[in-house]
Amino acid sequence: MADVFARGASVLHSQLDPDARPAVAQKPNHAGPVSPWLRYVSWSMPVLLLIVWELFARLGALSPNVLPAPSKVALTAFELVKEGRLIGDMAVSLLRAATGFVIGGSIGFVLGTAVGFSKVAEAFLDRNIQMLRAIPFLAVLPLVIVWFGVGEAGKIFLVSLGVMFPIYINTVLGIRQVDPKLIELGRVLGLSNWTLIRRIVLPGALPSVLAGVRYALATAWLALVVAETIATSTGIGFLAMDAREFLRTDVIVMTIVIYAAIGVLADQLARFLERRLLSWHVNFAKVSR
Amino acid sequence: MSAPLKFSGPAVVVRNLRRSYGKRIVIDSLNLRIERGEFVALLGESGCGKTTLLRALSGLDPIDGGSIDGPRLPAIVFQEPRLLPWETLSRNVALGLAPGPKSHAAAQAALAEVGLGERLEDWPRNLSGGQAQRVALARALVQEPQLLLLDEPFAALDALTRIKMQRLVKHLIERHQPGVLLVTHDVDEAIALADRALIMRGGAIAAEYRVTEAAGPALRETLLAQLGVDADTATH
Repeated sequence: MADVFARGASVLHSQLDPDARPAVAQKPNHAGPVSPWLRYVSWSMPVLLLIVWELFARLGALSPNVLPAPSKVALTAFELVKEGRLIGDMAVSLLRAATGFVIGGSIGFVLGTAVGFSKVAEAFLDRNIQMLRAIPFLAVLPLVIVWFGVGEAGKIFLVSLGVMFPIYINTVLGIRQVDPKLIELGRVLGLSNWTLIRRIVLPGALPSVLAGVRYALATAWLALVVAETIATSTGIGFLAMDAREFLRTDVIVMTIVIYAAIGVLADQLARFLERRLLSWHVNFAKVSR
Repeated sequence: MSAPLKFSGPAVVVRNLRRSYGKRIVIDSLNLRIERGEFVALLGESGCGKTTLLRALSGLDPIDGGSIDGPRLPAIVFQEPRLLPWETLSRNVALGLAPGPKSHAAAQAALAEVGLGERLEDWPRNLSGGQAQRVALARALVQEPQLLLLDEPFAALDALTRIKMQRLVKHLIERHQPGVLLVTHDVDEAIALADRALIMRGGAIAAEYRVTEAAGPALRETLLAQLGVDADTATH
């Protein structure tokens, strides 16, 4: 969370202060320029790890009950797809994550916008929200099961809860940090409140909001893994729990890999959004990250 | 030559203006009249109330007494360009206009006037300081203002860019004929641009000088003296 704060703040700061521009543009890559050789090494190490893992499994040094060979995991995935199970379960999981993200994200954004703009809304809402935020959202899991049982609603609720707070905090922060000089300019030009919000405040808050989105995607995914593992009858988590009954470590490892892969894809999606929506921004302009 | 022959009516008339922050009175019984097409420079030491007057004229701050007869929203160019970094130059210039094809054409024309007609769809981050300030000027002029307020708009520019900007401003103002109030610290700038130079002190206009070709060097010394710069130390 602190990391999100720091990032949002630094992005905004550089945007507000024109003098900071050259400094930001020339911000040194802390690792220094990476030589092609080291780059090659850094990419080949994971491949090496996979090869060693495969070798150990084949030689019997790793029992299949502990960790099956990567090739076995891939084969299992292929068979499950052929049986017509895997794709459906993945779709169910993704739909849960997306629904929860949209609901929680919208609530967080609307509340954040209200509190960011209005001292009155802040007085009414902020302390309660901060109190709820102090609860680790996974701690409410038993309560969620009591409320919603093992149906879809509970999982979507948990994802929404995990997504809401990072988006809320970053939206408030983003709106608060919009350059007051630009808002003054809008007033001098006679812009209506709505135009002021649409053309100055929200775009100014966008870098921070998107940082929140990126963090929230990770939280959403974590919430889903936990919810699906505890109580479910469909989805990736169900596959894993079902496999546990039969000690099918290959299926379990496969689900873990799928969770990881989708997590990485979600992060890429968020970065893509940042590059598209913040193409005006010095920090996002030509840097591919 | 008396002023009213040259000008076509007042851009703004300020009578007995008063403005205070708590008990501290910053502007007291200030009177000021600027004609359309007239360029007035306002000089004064820091803290004399220049900025407060400008903010009152722009409608950003309320006034505590007196009256301001003028446009509700004069155009203003600040010391910083204040461009929206997330909008293109043409959209920045058209920000204060009702959206539509007409405003786009107007923005295009205004950018062309300040020499940036080729960069309508460019982003503010690609501009130098002087170019950004030219866009800010275009954004002010596109409103066809009756009154244009310039709040030390050249202060942050390097010497050469400043001279170019001053020439551009003089040219554009002769063309658009708004009443202009330029707040500045720079006596030479005031002499180069203005028809009239005002000295502000203690929250009111303390002195007023007509700027003419002939008055040049002597006026410079007078203005500097008014601002507390001794003639002997100023030349060394």
